[in-house]
Amino acid sequence: MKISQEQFNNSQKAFKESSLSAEQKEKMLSSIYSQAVTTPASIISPYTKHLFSKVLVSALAILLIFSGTTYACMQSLPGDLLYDAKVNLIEPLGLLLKIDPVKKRDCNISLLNKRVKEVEILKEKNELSKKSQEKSFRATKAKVEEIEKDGLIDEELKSRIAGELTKYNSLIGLETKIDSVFLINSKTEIESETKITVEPPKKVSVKAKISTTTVVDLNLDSGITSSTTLSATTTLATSTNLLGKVLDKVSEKINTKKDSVEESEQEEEKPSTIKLPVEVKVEVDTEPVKNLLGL
Amino acid sequence: MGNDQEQNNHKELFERLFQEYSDVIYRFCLYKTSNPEIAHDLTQETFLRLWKTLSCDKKLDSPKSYIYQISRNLIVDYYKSHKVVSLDFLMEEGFDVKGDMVSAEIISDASILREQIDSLEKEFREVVYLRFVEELGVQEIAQTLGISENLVSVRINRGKNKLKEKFK
Repeated sequence: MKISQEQFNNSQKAFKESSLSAEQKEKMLSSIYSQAVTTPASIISPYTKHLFSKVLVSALAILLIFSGTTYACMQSLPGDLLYDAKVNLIEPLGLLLKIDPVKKRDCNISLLNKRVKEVEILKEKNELSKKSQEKSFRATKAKVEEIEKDGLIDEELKSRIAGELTKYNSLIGLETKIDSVFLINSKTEIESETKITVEPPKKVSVKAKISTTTVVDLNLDSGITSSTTLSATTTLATSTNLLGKVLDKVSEKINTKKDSVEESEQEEEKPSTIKLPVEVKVEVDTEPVKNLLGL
Repeated sequence: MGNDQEQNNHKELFERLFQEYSDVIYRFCLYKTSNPEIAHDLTQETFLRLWKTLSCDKKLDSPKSYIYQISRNLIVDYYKSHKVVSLDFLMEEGFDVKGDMVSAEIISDASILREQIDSLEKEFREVVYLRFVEELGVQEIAQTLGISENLVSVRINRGKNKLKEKFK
């Protein structure tokens, strides 16, 4: 609608005259004073108020939903709807916050313990289905691989992990079992330990020293006669006989000592050294006999 | 005693501002809403908020621009919360103001002024209104709108020329 400048000016003048009457102003003032509270609040822009309330409500809703879901996730067991979210989202997020590699490793190990406990709980409840076992197996395998990849595992932790994995493998009813370097190392250690207990390195030594000296003098000054030959032969036979007896006695003594040593070994399982205070020394001077016989 | 004195000072300042600006704000609201009752309510709400602010011992550097700002926010809030269909929208939809509107408020001078001023670009509307309807000076407009005086001068000149072009 087009109007002239004059019309515009007239409207302007007329509009400028429009105002509140004195009565209206009076009423307005009394209304303001009656409405005003004793401790008036500061004026918040409607935009800010609106935005603030929206942001606050959204943040609260997100917080509630997120915290509730997270709690439900953390309580879930293999086979539950939220279990995948727990092992693939919530726990990795928690691990992301661990900057220190040692803390991260500890966290990973505690998560592995958790996997074992989950299966234990399911087994106690008698709810260990094939599906839940498979889910748990995948999660546990991934965790073990992660621990292997990260390293930083000393001997004590290795044996702890091996213990957990052995326990896990015994709980789970799948054909495939968790296999890991921790388990392999642990097996070798157990075997070697068994060897030690079965065949302890024990040294048994028996030293026997028997000494007896018998000297037989053959008088051949008067030449070789039948009597001297007989005498020499008898002496030799006697000596041989004596030697045989001595050896028998020694071997008997050795056997007796051996038996007692074995008995004490079984009791103490310690290497022992037994010394026999017997020395046998047989010296036969064969030269006169050789000369006598013309050898 | 001190509190009573302060309260009296606040009341005095408030009533002075009320007497000075209540009509201006009422016209501004009337111009924006084309409805005297709504304009009355919005004016009352504007001064209620001003009174609350003053009661809190808040210092106002420029009470005039502060009052305008409250009023402007309330008008925006009113349109948002009440989903009022504007006169412009009705006219765009083919609604004949002169022929169909029986309300005296809508065919008032406010509507005529608004129709002309709102036909300008957004940046000129308030400057032109304050200059040619409220007859404020450049400095006052600059303070009220929070823009530089140079920019106010430029917008007044351009807006004036654009308005002249629209006349018969």
